[in-house]
Amino acid sequence: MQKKFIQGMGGIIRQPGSNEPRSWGASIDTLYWDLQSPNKFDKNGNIVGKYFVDSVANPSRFKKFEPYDNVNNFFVTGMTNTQNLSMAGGTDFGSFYLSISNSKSFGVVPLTSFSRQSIRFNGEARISSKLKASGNISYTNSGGRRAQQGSNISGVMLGLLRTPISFDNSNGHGKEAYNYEDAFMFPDGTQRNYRGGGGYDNPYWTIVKSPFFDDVDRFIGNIQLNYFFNQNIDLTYRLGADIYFDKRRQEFAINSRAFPAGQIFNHEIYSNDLTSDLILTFNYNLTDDLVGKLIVGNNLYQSLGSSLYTQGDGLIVPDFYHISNTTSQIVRQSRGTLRRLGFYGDLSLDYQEWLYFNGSLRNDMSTTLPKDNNSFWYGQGSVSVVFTNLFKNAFEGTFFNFGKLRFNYAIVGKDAPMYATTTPFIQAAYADGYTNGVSFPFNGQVGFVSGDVLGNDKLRPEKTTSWEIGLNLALFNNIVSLDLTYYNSVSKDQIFSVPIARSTGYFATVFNAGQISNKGFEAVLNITPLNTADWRWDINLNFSTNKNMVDELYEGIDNIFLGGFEGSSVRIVAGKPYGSIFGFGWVRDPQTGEVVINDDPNSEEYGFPILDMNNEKAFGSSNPDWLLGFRNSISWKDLTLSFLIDIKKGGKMWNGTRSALYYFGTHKETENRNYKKVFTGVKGHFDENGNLVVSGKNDIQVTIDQNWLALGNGNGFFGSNTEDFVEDAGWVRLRELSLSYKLPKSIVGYTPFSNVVLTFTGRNLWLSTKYKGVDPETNLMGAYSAQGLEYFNMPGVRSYNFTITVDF
Amino acid sequence: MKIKYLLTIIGISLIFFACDSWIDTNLNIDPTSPADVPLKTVLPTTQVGIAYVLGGDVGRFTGCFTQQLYGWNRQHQGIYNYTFKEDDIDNAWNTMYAGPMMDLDFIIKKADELQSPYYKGVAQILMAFSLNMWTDLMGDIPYSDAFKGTNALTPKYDSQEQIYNSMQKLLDDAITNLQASTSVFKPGADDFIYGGKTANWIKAAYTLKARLYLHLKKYDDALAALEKGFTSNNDDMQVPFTEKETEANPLYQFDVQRGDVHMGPKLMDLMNQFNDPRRPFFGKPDENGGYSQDSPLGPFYASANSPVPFITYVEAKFIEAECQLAKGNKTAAYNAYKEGILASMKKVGVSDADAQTYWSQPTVDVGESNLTLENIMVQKYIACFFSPEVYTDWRRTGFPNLSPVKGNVIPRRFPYPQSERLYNFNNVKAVAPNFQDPNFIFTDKLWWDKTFWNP
Repeated sequence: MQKKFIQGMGGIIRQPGSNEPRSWGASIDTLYWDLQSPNKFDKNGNIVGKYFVDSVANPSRFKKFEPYDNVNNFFVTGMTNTQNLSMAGGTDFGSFYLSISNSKSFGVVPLTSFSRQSIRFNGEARISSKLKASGNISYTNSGGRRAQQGSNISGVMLGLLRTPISFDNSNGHGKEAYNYEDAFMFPDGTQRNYRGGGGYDNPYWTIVKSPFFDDVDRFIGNIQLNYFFNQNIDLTYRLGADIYFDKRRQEFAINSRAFPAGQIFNHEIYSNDLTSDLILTFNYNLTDDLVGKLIVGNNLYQSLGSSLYTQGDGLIVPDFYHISNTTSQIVRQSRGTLRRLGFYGDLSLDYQEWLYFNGSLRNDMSTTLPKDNNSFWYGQGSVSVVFTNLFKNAFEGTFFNFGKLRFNYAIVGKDAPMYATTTPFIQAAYADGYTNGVSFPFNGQVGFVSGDVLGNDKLRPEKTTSWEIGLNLALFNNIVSLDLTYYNSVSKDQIFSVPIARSTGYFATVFNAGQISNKGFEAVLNITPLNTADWRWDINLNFSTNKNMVDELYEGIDNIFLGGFEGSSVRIVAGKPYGSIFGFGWVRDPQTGEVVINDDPNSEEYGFPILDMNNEKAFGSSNPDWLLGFRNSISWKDLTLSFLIDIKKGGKMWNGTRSALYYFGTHKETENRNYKKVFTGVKGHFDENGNLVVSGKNDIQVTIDQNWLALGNGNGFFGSNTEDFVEDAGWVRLRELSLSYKLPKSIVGYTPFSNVVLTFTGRNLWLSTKYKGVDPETNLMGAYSAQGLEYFNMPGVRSYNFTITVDF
Repeated sequence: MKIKYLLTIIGISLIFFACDSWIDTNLNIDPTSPADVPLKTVLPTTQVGIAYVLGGDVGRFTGCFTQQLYGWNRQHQGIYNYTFKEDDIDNAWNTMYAGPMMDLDFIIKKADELQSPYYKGVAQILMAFSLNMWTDLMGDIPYSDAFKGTNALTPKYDSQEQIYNSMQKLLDDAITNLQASTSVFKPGADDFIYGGKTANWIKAAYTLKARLYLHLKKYDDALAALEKGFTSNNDDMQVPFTEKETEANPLYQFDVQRGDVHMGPKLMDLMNQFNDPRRPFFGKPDENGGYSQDSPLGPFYASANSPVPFITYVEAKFIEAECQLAKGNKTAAYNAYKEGILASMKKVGVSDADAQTYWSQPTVDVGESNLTLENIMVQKYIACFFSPEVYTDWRRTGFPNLSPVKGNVIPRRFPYPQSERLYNFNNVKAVAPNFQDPNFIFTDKLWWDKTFWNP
């Protein structure tokens, strides 16, 4: 954040709480607080310039202006407290395991918290020599209080990073501001923010007055019966369930910027997944040299979900959050069931412990595909050769302990998303991108509109064909082990929701739309250079690289939009990697590829690069060139030190935060303003016929100030410039550093414990990245497929943990 | 005993997968979204949808171009300064084509099946209104090839001339349908505009016909249509909104939730010149107690329960005045002009005395023989505040005189939306080869603009 220029445009002074959104105002060198003028937004009164101070009789009554540090004031130190207790026991008849855990975290955003309690029980009973029953169940309750984030006018980071240095979000309360209502609210209940009540929420308002709560109860369990007919044949039946109930609640107080009349919603989500497996296994030694195993099985899967969303708008009694306390209500419901049925066989053969073969075949049926296309096959075959066993004589006694070569070929089918085959009517709601909009029931009338996504009753299952070749080695008395894998996979008939011209009456339709391929290489190297009674040193290297390509999109489809924001988007386009970042960029000289600088002296953009508004260009994808993890662990007696360094090479990210903060004039890089610059490129312009005329290296000097950075194409918020804000999101980071000490027996002997371990762990302690902003390991669209967009994301967190583990 | 236990479990699971009904493809039909719905649940959504776009994006954007509004912040500052981009209009276009217009097309077809000509007639008028809104902003647009889903994934564009013919045909058919002796299903409370009163819809159809004739200088046809058009403010075609937050007027929502638009300098100048008593209804006083481009939006158009007018009696009177003047009938023109102004005062809620004071100013009551097209268009500009028709009027007649806020030209059209460039490129290119030219919105004149008004 820049710390030199206050709220305003054109270098002028705008008082705190004025409606000016931007910080292109006066420089603080010349500014004073007058300490006199009544100003409800600041206890120091109004900001005045040096000329004014010099012109009055008693200049000493003014106080030199100091910038407020809103960002530092806002965040607090988080804290997590975890307790685990577990016990296990067993007899000839059976065994059990029980664990209980409890954890509570307080986030770096004040008032946010998350807690989690869980119980887990595993049990096993040998009912007879032939029958065994086992089961486990776990129950977890988790949830907490969270803050709004991302792009939303109540987003904490939006309000925080846009606040000028001349406005104190905390109103003098500093880090404690969330405890003081006068930081974010006036006595009449209106909001105190830097825009005088407009614009974005004061972040303290957001965390105090607009919290989000969630509370999840989750049961996961399964029961299993094994029946052993004889030593060769056994039957297994397993029934598993994953059931959760997620209750979410959002409150928006009256005078919140997103919902000025106040809002509350309750969203209750129920999910119930059942899996049933019946597996018959045959194990035979076919000859002395050949061991065979055959599995035949049946798998049933059912996923059942429902949700109930109730929203009330327009609170009557302030701060009382109950649906009955609102002027209008909306209810949304959904429910659905998905089922799959599979039969499979799997044969493994092991010849003389050097040749292994495995082949399997499976048929699946799914309810999400049209009836005629809803059955599909999978299959895979693999062969591996342990050549150190094959040529035992040659390898025995050498440094070459183990070597295996493997090859695998597989075909995998996949069904469609639910409800993609029909086009039903849906409840009507309209909005326009600026407002919350209207929804039905409206004025006492129920209302439906035809669905936005056109269903397709001709969908086929997706099919992925892949092969893989690998090598596993162990060398030097197993001090060194190495796994190498190369793979190549092609996915055909990928099912996408494809956007279509809205003049068709729909936003999108569902298609088997394209083919995507992945080729990659993975290597894992483990070395144990030291292994003595007192010392042990382990090195682990993990390398991977993947090349992803959209080979083709089917006829009539040019590109598929995955997600986007402010003119920058992530799309699927043939001939580019999946999820390439698109947006507008500079006009370039087709000969040299250099950026064209406008040399038309009558243009307002004389001396500045020309933006090409005709075609979005691709600026790479978030896919990295390669990833490398480097872990070291060194132990000396009871003391262990380990660290993990992660390297991500390449991968792009759109820095939407920086593109907006240029406009707002709060970005660190805007601290350097009103300077002269000659843009690198060639001079040129478009003639009357629209042809590009280029004339040599650019030498036009221009001033970089608000006209370019805030009002021109120097930013991507008001301008349409994506190119300048797509950045290399590679990094080198110290992901984890940990030091643990196991108390020696001589000390533990005096305690009731059998074992005591003290561990200190630090995460994300050090990060080196070219990315200009928050930790690039974040994404606007969360874990969805549109990766590579960042817009006022929450920063990553550095954490330190101290753990004591005791065994009884 | 143990074996029995085991066999039971195996038996149960066999029943599971032996049963064909396990893979029941009917499970893939969403039980919470109906496959078919009655017309009375679709009609109201089309009316509210059109009103939300008309009284939202489209009204604000045309208001910025005509300087009836002043975009002072964020995106609207750009639009006010003619930085109007393809993605600015995307939302309105997408909402209308994939929303109300698609659903009107559904009603028009379904009403035949259900022998319900009244629904069909109402839907045809709303479709004609929607096409009118788009063609007067965009020129050539898809219609005959639209709303066909996978049967026409890239709908071709109809010329604006074809669209004008289609609209007149839709309105003629609508009048016939609304005059049918019977209709199996009849709109009632689900018709927010007229509560199912066919006589009102017929008047609206004629008034809309007159507006379209006027655009093509067909003065006689326009006057003939007006004979059967609106006869008082009570006839106005408008959609009501309510005090409830999720049923609130779009301009109100924009004002409260965004607030990036104030009253426009040109409108405020003119109203100040005439000492216009409608000022406190249209706007609110600025910080100095006067009316200027710092004035916030006022209660008449920007309250939660302000209706969104589609076409009004006031507009009909100004159409009449313009047509009569063009035909040289000064008396008739003068009477319509006066009635238009006084009807506007009445509609807004100005007292008769104040209205009379306003009228009796020599700059307003210019006298029958002195009445000019500029007088009519200036008063229409004020009286039809926030209607996109004002933008069409300015392009047709050049009145009121507007100075560009930036550069030396005012845009003469809207850009084609981003979604059409991305997903229907060839068809857009076919009708507007230079649509990606940065000066396109300044230089490209619509068919009626260059054919009838500004060759």
